[in-house]
This record gives sequence, C-alpha cells and structure tokens, in this order.
Amino acid sequence: MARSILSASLVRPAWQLGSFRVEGPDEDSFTLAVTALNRLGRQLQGTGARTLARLHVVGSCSPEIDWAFSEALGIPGLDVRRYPSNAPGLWGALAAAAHDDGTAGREAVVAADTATLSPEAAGDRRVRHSAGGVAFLLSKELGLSVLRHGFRGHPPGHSPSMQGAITGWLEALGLSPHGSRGEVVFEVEEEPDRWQAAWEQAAPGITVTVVGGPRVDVGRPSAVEAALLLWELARRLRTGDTGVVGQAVRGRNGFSAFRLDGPVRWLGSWGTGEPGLNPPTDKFLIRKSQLDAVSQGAYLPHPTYLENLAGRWRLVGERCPRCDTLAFPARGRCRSCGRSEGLRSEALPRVGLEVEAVTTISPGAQPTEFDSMVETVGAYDVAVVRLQPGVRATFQVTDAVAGRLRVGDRVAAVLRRLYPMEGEWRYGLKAIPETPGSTPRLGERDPKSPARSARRGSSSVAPRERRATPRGSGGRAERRPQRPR
Amino acid sequence: MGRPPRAAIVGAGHTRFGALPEGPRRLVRDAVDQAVASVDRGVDRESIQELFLSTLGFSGWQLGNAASIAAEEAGRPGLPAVRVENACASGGFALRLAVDAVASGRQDLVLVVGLEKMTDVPHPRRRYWLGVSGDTEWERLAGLTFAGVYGLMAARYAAEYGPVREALSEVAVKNHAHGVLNPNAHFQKAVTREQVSAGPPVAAPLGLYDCCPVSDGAAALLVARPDVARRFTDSPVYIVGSGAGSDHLAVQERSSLTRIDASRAAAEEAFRGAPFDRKRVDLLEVHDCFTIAELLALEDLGFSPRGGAGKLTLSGATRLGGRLPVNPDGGLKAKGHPIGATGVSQAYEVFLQLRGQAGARQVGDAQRALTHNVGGSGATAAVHLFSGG
Repeated sequence: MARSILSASLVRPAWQLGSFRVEGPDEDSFTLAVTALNRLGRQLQGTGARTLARLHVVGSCSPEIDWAFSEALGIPGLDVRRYPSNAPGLWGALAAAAHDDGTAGREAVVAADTATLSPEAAGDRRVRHSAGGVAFLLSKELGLSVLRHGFRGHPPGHSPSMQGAITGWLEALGLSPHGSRGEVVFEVEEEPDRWQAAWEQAAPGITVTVVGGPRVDVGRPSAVEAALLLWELARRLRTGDTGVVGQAVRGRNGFSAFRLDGPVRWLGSWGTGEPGLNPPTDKFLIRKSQLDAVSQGAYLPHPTYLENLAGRWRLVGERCPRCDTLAFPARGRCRSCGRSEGLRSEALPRVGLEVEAVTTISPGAQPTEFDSMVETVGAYDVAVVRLQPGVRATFQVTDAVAGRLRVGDRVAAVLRRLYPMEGEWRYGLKAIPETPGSTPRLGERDPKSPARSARRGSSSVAPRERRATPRGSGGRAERRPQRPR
Repeated sequence: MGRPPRAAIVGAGHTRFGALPEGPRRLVRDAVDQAVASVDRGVDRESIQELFLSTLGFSGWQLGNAASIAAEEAGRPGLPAVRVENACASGGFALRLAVDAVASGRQDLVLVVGLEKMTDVPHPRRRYWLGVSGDTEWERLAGLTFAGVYGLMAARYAAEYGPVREALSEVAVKNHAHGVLNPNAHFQKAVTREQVSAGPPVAAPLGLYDCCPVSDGAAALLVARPDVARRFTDSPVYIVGSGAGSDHLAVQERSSLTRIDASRAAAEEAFRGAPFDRKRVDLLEVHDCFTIAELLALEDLGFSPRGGAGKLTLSGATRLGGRLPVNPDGGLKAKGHPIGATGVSQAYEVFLQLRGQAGARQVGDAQRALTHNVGGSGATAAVHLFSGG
C-alpha cells in the first residue's frame, strides 16, 4: 500500500445555456473519462511514465465498451476494470490500484460521469447537475505518499456521538485524533455545521473542511464528487502533512476515507471553473427511444464505423514510406504515389490546430441526425482544421458560442458523442476553441451573455456551491477551501 | 479547326421547375413528349435506340431500376435503358454517355432524360436526402450538409481573397433577374442585393438567398449522330467537347478549399481539341447551387483569374447583355435544382440559345456555349461545349 498519486487531471465540462452552466449534450461518462486520461497523458509526456497496463474505471458507461477505452487511448490490450459510479466505487478502485501486483506506475483510476436526471429532478432547480472526469495515475516509485483506505460503520441502532464517530474513524486510518496534523475534507449530507464543530473539537490539530448540506441527491455522480475531494486535498498537502478525504455514508453511521501522507507530487493539473447548476429542462435526458430508433440520418453501418476508430478517435493517419506523404484519414493507399505496402500509422497532433475554414450551421440546416442536438444547443459551428500543411480534418465545434470562431484561430480535438444510431452512441472527435480572446470557451466570461447576474443568485439554491473547487489551469495554486459560513 | 462534332442535339424538352403537382412519371412523360414535338422534321419514337436516365432517386421512391420507368413513360418500353447517378452532376454525365453512344457509332439517336421529384417528401426525410451525396463519414457526421460545405468554401474564399458578400449577393440578384425571363423557372421574381444580404442565415456566410431551392422537374434531350442530325432538323446544336473529372469526396482531402479541381479537369478535357477556345464562348451555364459556386466555377473553368470572379460579377459582365452572360435561364439559383434534371436542363437552355429560341432571355447571336455540372461539393464534374449549326 505504498503508492503515491503521481499526477491527476480534472475535466469539468461546462456548457452555457442562458444563465446556467451544465454539461454539454455531447458528453458522457466515456468521453469525460477519455478526455481526463488524455490530459493526464499529456502532463506525463517526457516524465518517463510508461504506458498504462490497467485502467480502473469508475463511471456508468456500459461495460460493453471496455474495448473502447483501449481504442480511444491507443493502448492495445489495456486491462479495464469497472467499479460502480459512486463514492465506495471510487474508494474500491483506488484500493485495487494501490495494491501492488507488478504493474506499479502503470495503473490509472478514472472517475467520470454525468448525472442523468429524471424528468422530475430535471425540473427541480435545487438539483445539482454535476458532471466531470477525474483521472489519477498511481505509482509507488516516488514513495512519498500512502494511500490507506479506511471504513468504519456502526451497528444498526447504535448511534455514537459525532465526536465519538470521528475518533473511531481516525483510529481506523491509523491517526491519533490529538497528535495528528493535517487536513480532512469531510463530506456529509446533513448537519454540516454541527459536523464542522465536532471535528474541530475531536481533532484540534487537523484542519477540517466540511462540505455538504441539504440537497436533493438525485443525479449527482458521487464518484466524481468523491474524486474531486481527493483531487483538491492532494493538491494542498505539504511534506509532513497528513490528509484524509472521506465521505460520511448514510448520515453518521459510517465513514469511508483515504489517508494521504504528503506531499503528493503534482506534475501539473488542469481544471475548469466552478460547477454550475443544471437548467430546469429534461432535454439532456438520453431518450431510449431516440437511441434505439433507426436513424433517418446518414447511415454508417456498425462495422464501417469500427473500421477506422484510430482515425476517428485519435487522429491517426498514415505516412507513405516511399514518398513520405502523410495523409488523413488513413485508407491503406498513398494519396500521392499510390503505394499500398508498408504505410506507417502516424498520430497527428490534437491540439493547436489552425482553423482553415469555418461555417455556422443555423437551426434547420443541420443533417437530421443532429436534430435533437440542435433542439438543445441551437446553431453550431463546423470547421475544417489543418493537422499539418496539406492535411486536414472536419470537426463540429463544441463547448463554444456559435459564430465566434474565425479562420486562423486554434482548436483542440476532443472525443465526444456524435449521434445515436441503431441503439448505440457513435463517438468521434469534435473541436473546442483554444485561441484565447477570440472565442470564449463556454463557461468562461462571455461579455455578450446577459444573464450572469441570475447565475450568481443561484447560489442560494445550491448550498454546496460553498465548496471551493479547483479552477483554472494554474498548476500549483495554493488555494485553501473556504469554510462554510 | 479541331475535331469534328461528336454528337448533335436535335430536340429538347423541359417541364416547369418548382413545387409541382405532377409525379415523377408524369414529369418524364411531359419532358420527353416536348422533346419529341420539338424536332423540326419530326421523329418516330421507334427510332430512339437507347435511353439514359439521370436521377439521384431522391426520396428513394424507385431507387433501383428507375430507367425502365423512364422507358415506359417515353413510350418505348423495352428500350436499352440505364440510370446514371453522379449526384447533382448526373445530368452532365448522362449527356456524356449519350454523346459516347452516338460518337462511337453504336447508336444513331438516343434519349437523355433528367428527373427529380423532391417536394413530395416530408421535411426531415427531405433533409436526409439532401445530404446523401456528401461525404458521410467525415463531413456529414460533423454536422454538414451541402450548404455547410459550401459555407466552408465561401469562408475560406473570403479569407484568401477578401470580402465576398457583395459578389455573392450579386450572383443571386443576377440569376433571379434572369429567372424572371424564364417561364420554366422556379423563382420568377427579382431580388435586391439588400434582400439577399439580409436573408436568414443558413450556413454562414451563406444565407437563404445564397442557396438554390428544392425543386421538381424534368428535362429531355434527343441526341443524334452528327452525320444523321440533319434528317431531324436544319439547326442542330452540336456537342463539340465533353470533359469530366472527379476529386476526393470530402473537401478536407482536396488540394484546395477554394478550387474545384474536378471542374478544372473537366474543362481541360472539353477544350482539348475543341474548335474554339474560351475567348470565343458566348454564354455559360454553370453550376450555381450556391452563390459561391458560381464564383468558383468562373475561376475553375478559366474565365476569371483566381480571386477575380467577384470583381467580374460585380462589373456586370456576367449579366444578360454583358460580355459573357452566365446562367441566362436563372441558373440553379432561380430556375431551380431538381438534382438529376439540372445537367440536362443546362443543355436544354443551350439548345434554345444557340438556335435563337430563348425569347426574352436570348443572348444576342449566341454561337458557342459551355455547360458545367458539378456533383455535390465537387466530387464529380462534367463540362460540355456546344456550337450552333
């Protein structure tokens, strides 16, 4: 049990609709997980980190697409293990990943999910509509941290005092309530203020942040929330610090937690702004009828869809050994000289892509398979981007205000849901703007958006907004979480 | 003076274009009947030896074996018949096959029919069919239909050559003005540049008035071997050049976003060995499915330098009465664009123009003409050159 968190990445999708920010309609557990893992991979470039051997997935995406992780990450034979999309699922995944069985430094844990709201919950403005992906790479090579999993429940009918419960939990983690210095992030659903006071009395040397409060607990991907707690805490730990991150389970009857001994070495991190509220709408629901319907859209048979996933998901093209022409998509024959033997796969860059042309598709001009997406997002952009001189790809633009992208701007390619066909979601790359200034990312400040004041007011219906959430791409910013007032 | 003519048009017919009450069978029958009736010295239907039907098969009402229906409606069941499909360039390619059928000596007289019935389909199904000829895997699944693809080309054109809005609007204004003079046109109504520029957006920078309409219609041509043409008429219209080309289906794979290389290749082949060069062409029928397409066509076909088509258009040179009238029938933009009928309809217009029968839209003393028919966003293209008898 001696593995440190080597690196982590966070993906918080943000979509702006009116005054609310929610996840985009083209994201799901799978795309968020892949995006978080890709970011992690980029952070680890040049650090000597080796290819993943095992991936622990905490999320709701179907186990039937385990193979898709291997394909999307470009790691053949990746061992994918699945855990329920809840906090215990995450703790279980971390415990399994921390177990040393010869794959040290080659295991990652990713928690990623979106909330699926019932129509009733969707209409309830108190419902938090969180979504995101958090990926951790675990390694024992640094030897700096300990991940120790503790859980203690209480027999039914036995309800100890809050202080007593806290003392018991800390002991389970090998910590002395009075002798330990460190930090605890504690999530509880009820009575957060009383819990705060109880922690301060029971463990005076420990800085405690209690998060939680009354909420309608529907549609919240709690595995992601738990992973966020871990992410936040790990960012702050210094040498000699001990950290505990945990969640109370069912009121005060149990506490599931991880202990970390700092510092956790961070190679970098990436995060977006604070989480938002869901819009009071059910348009984000995946309608099963829609998924099962035989599409009136352009037909791509399933085997053809599978034929070039490396190209569709990872921008892998091919280079001719004779004339050195690089082409995308790969078709097994050189565009330039016609050679079909010995073509080499070559991954094209997925960031910093220059827009060569862009159009804005107004509602009504979209192909029918995008009808339901347009119902939700309205107009959208499509861009032809330059992968290399003379090598291009065509992407729908997402996470962006339509009509702002310009020729010459830069975009990055991300995996997203395209549209449903014959019972499955078809995935492919879309572009998100990365040129600062010219095109606001959704969720960033949009000077033309009239509705920010309404959003600020929304905190009154979202008690959990009080929790500070990592933001920005600032790497090692030492932000302390705010205490609830 | 170049090679002798390869084929001659001796009769031509054309239904109205627009949202029509007639079904596809009736449209074929009307166009063929008109073509037969137009033959100056008369023609016995029994002397028609082969039929080429150009149609996308929009709506899928009879996607397979549609040519046999055309033979029935032409009054010649049993005729050798084939459906030709290259999306919006189907008509140009059907004509090319007809030319080859007579130029090779295999047949004396063949029938080309172009048809599309598009407006009898519910809206979502129509939008599905409007996109079937583009690249499915990369363009369509990125959310593009043809308006979107041409929108991208227009955006790139503007990035390379400067503002293009005025010129695009002028293409629409000009072609609508020409459509007013064409009783078969879908739109017989003039528009102003301000109206065009202020039209609802479709695929920026293209708006509603930059797009051709969805139309029903049919056209038919009787194509004869040149040495027998005068049996049918004293004024046949000779086909003196035929060229075709293709390119990558997806725009992203082409050498440029502001050129349609298939058009360039088709024009090169058509002019190779032709009895006249570009300078002597009196009128053009080009494939203006979107206003930007007419600008690209002028450049791809060699009638304007790169980036100069906007200026040429704004100068008035391409209007009726100008130096080089383009799309005197209103073009796809105003006349309408029943997909499979369009390439055949372009040759119909040339047939009228070169025989001095185009009425109010007659290009004075027109002797030589070019038609240019593009499939989708430029995956295929056919060009034909014509001269009057």
